[in-house]
Amino acid sequence: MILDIDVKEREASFELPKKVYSMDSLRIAAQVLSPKIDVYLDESKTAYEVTLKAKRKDAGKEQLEALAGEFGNELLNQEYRFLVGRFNQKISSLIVTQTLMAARGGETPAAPPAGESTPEFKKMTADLMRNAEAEVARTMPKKIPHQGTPLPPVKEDAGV
Amino acid sequence: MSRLTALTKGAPVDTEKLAAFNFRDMGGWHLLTNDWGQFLMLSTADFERFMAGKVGPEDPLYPELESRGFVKARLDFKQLAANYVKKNSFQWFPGPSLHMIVVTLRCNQKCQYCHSSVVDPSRTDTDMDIATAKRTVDFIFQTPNPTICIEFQGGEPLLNWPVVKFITEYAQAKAKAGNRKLLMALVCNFTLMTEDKLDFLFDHHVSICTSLDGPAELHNKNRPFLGGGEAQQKVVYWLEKIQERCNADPKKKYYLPGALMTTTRFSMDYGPQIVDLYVKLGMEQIFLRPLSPIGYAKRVWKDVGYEAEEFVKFYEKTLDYIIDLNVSGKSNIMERMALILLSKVVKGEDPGFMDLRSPAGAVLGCLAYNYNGEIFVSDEGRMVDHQGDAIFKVGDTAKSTWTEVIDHPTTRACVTASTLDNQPMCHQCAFKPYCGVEPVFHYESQKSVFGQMPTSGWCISHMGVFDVIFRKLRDPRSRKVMDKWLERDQCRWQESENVPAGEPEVVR
Repeated sequence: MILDIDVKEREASFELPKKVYSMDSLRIAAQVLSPKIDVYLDESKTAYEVTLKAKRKDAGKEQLEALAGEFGNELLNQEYRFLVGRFNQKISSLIVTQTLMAARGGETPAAPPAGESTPEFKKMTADLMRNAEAEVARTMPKKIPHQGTPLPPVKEDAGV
Repeated sequence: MSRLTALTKGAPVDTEKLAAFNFRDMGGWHLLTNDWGQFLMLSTADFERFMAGKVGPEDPLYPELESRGFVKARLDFKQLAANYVKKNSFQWFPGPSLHMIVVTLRCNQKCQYCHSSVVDPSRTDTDMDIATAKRTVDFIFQTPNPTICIEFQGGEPLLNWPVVKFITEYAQAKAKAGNRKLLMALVCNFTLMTEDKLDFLFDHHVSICTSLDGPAELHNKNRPFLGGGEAQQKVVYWLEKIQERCNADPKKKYYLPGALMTTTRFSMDYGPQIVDLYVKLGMEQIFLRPLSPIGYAKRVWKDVGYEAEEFVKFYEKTLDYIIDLNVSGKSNIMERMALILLSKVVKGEDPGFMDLRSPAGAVLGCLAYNYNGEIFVSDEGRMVDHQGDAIFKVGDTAKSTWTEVIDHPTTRACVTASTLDNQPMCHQCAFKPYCGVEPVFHYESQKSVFGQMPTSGWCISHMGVFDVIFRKLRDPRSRKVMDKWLERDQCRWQESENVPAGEPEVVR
């Protein structure tokens, strides 16, 4: 892969042969790395012309090269995943279908058991709820209004 | 870079004679495994002879290769298929059995690595209310699995004690009415435990598990009280107290408390001391668990995290210490991760560990319920939502049915992404029959539910641990200890089958 680095624009550009890489892989790799880069695409008859623009304002030559490498790895990963998926499609489809169908437990879920429709069960449920509500009121601190999502999204340089 | 091993260039291979299998160069010997769950450990010379088609029926190696499904012309499909079903029984399970309910996000501790992304004790808006608790139990009983295990999580669940009590009593009434088998478990930090609460938990057969990271200086560094203070002493106090009560009453012996440790960067130098504490407390097992870069841990990874290779070194060193203790007769403590892998490899059974399944346990084996009734593919998926990303939400107890949850596109994506036959590298890996990938871990660490195995910390640490276990299996001294562990684990489960009717067995 021949890299063209423009530090001032925080951009790394390169070409990818269409014979090897698909548009699907390019899109997925761009999505996976979207927290770090914007990806711009152009194309000729035989190649995709890719430009990566780093989101970090302080990205230098080394970082741009590393990002291009990361993008290339992800691209290969996706392309190979498609190959593996096609190669093992029969067995993987069988396993996925088998497990989902078994987990579903049939077309129509079973109705609640008759034991839950009895007046005794309904009374017992109502009593349990009333007692629990009373205990909450007696022992728990007063509930405050909803304060929103507890944590903001993690920053990209968290070090993972 | 791939960590798989390839054949030497130009090495002769007689594909006509070989059944499908994966292999790994273990340094002087080769490990062979197949999708039936069978394995063989061959010297490199024997491996090369086998690959070249030079092991014939007269060879002493042949019967083993034949019986384990490595010889193409001699496959006993009936037996091998039975092995496959036994090893992958979860592929036929009617829905999840493990239901984790977060009754509050509030916590009185501020753990360095908290997966659960807890909030301050003043945030009562994150307490589950009684109506939501009822809806959650009703939803759980819609799922078709005849066995239901409800696990209380948090935050610190004891901060919302009335809801823990209500769910316990209501779920038990529903289980009785519907003739369902119900197990209940509480995961708490013990700091708010009281005799009254303990009485309730014993009376209602709720098993108890806590976190114990090691000696006081380590535990209190990893898991300090909010606003300062020491927590380890309380954990040790209640562990001893509960054990005392369990041991005094034969009916309660099934409810001996469990403890989990999480490995942080600070734990790395404490392996033997952590084990010694577990031994001193009479714990039957220790679970050497790595830290995951999920939730709050992701934010502080630079401070508490480590490379996957560092964990593998820690694991091997500490496992060596545990095996030495067993060999010398000083203790018979078992290591849980080793036991899980040994159950899969040696016994060909699924030990019910959600993370190491193909497909993974997300939705198929477990569901997590947030304090507000939202349903997630797993507890880790709930933590991602905690940061404002609802990608792993698959329903809401206020409006969803079980059918909608299992048919949810996110459920299908997680199942597809965690089927190892779809995964680059995994599908060729010798550990594939026993391993699994976790979509939430990879979404959090690599921004994709599929992940990228060559650079995945999950893959590096699991392959490393598998390497350790298979090396131990080839070492007669370690093998003897591990065989004893498997025997004891078998007895434990057989014993728990004999729990009096109506009383659930120990979950952990």
